[in-house]
Amino acid sequence: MKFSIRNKLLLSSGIIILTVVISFIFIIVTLNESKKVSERNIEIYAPSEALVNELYALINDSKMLSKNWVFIEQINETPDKKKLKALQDTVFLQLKKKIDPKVTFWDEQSKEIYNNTCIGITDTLFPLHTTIMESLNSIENYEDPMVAFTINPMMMEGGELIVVTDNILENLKKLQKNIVKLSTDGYNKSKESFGSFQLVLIILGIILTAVTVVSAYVTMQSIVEPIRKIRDDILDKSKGIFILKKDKINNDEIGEMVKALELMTSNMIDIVKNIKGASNGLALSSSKVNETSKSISSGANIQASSTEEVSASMEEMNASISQNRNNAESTEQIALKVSGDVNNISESVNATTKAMQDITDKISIIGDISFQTNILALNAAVEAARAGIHGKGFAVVASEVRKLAERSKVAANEINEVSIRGVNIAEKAASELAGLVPEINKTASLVQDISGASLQQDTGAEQINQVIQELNNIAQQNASAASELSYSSKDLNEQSGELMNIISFFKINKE
Amino acid sequence: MKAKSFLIILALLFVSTSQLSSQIAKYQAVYIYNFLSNVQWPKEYRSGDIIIGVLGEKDKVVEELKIITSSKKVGSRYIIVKPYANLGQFSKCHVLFVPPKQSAQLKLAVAKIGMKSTLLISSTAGGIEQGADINFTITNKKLGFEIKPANASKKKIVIGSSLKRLAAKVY
Repeated sequence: MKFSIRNKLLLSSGIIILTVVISFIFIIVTLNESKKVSERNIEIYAPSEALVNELYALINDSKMLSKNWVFIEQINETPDKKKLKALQDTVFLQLKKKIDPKVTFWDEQSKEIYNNTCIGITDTLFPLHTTIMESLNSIENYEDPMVAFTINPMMMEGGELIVVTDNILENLKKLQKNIVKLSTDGYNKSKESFGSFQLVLIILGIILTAVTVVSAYVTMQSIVEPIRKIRDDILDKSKGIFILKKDKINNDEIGEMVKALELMTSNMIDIVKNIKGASNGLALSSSKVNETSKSISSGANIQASSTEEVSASMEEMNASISQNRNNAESTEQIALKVSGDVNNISESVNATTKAMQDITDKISIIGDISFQTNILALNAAVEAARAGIHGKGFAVVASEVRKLAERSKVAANEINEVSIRGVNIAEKAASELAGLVPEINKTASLVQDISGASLQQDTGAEQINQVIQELNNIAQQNASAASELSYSSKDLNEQSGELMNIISFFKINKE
Repeated sequence: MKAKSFLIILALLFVSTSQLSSQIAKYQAVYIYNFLSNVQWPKEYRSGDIIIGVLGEKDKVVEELKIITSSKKVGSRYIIVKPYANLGQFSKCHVLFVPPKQSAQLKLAVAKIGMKSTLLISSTAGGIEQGADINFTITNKKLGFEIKPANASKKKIVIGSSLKRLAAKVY
């Protein structure tokens, strides 16, 4: 699961909020307890103390009022006597009515003291008061020593009413002490409760502070610390220090930032390495370019001079071409004349050939005659043979005729052969002449072509010359450019050095 | 309650003479006890227990006094009832009661006391005249008393105003 910063912050805030909520609950519970204690103190113990004090004062007053009744006020219905009567009839009951509901909340001992005191008041003290009031209800009774000596001792030190009253007062003192103790305990409890509340507040404050500090520390460790590292890393990078660190990577956005930063660092290291390599190569290349540009400059200068030379040669060649063209034109004229002559010769040869052919034809007639003579001689021999001795002389003539035929035939053949040979030679000559004419024509044509070509060559040479001039210009420009290139390559070399210097700003791994 | 009892007893006094006599003794004891609180003795008698001397060991008053004073003090001082069989046994005491039966010895008692600060209480007609400081009287069956502060003051005893007020007669 990806524990993102959002989740971390949510968790951190959640813990703090939970702690605050728990703290509030604790505070409310403790405050409620304190409130209860305080309320009990305010509503029960403090009023109880006041009421018991009032009861004590009431009983104490009753003692004084009784004494007054016995020893001082002999007439009836004096304020003090009324007060003593009212005390017994109403005041005490009203006070008791106020106290009774509070008694429920007192401790057992106080309850017992209070109940005994009330019993003592109602069953003992008040009857004594009644005795006094009833015994001393007239001036005469005050004058009666029997009454006086019965009643007075009750009011003397150690007297019954005094003892009873003192006992009641003593009990009330105990009750007061108890109530004061209860009140004090309540106050102490309240104080303790508030102390506890304060302690709880302090503890909760400490816990809250601790939780907040821990949460902040954890958040700082998981967020701020990595961010600080990233900041340091970025500051390093701003100083050109690119060192690939393998820190622990959190599974959050910062972790992703660290990964991205590491990737960037890695890429930067590669880039810086490449730039360094490239700048080294550039420096080397620029040196080479410098050298090359120098050689190009030199070559361009040479090329320029060569071009000038070529231009001069081309001018010479142009002159030669013009001459060639003139010669070609002359040759063409000659060739055309030769061609006409050859045609004439050819016609003569053809006429010769025809004559020879005529001869041959005529000779073939001789051959045919000799052939037929031979056949006639043969036939005469045959007839001479049939005539026997009578044809002997004819046979001789026939043989001679055949011989003659034979010889005519041989001569005819020889003449034929010579004629044929002559015809062949004539034909060959005619043929050769005929063949020579096209050649001559062709030669004339070629010479014409040569003449045309020479014209074109002349034009081309002119163009070439122009081109060479342009080349010359270009070569000079090249030389100038090469010179500039040389300067530029020098600049490039310097700039590559500067680039090296700039790149040396970056410190990467294994440097 | 005790007051009521006393009143009831008072009513019963009228039932019989003997009973009356007992009641008178009882009231006399009460009165004597009350006198202690209303009399001021000189300095030398203000320390130690208060001693009530009674002439006649078997007098009812002795018992009644003992009953009354047994659980009571005057101020911080205990009360001791000291019966004397005769005046010869008389010693320093704060009060000397001469019961009716011992009235004949009143004068002797006066003489015996002399200027000693002993409050002399009698219970006989003319007791004051004979030298008693306080004398019980019965008028209409009611116990009363008469006093003569001058007698007492001769012995440096001061009788309180309340006694003077309650007394049937002050000489």
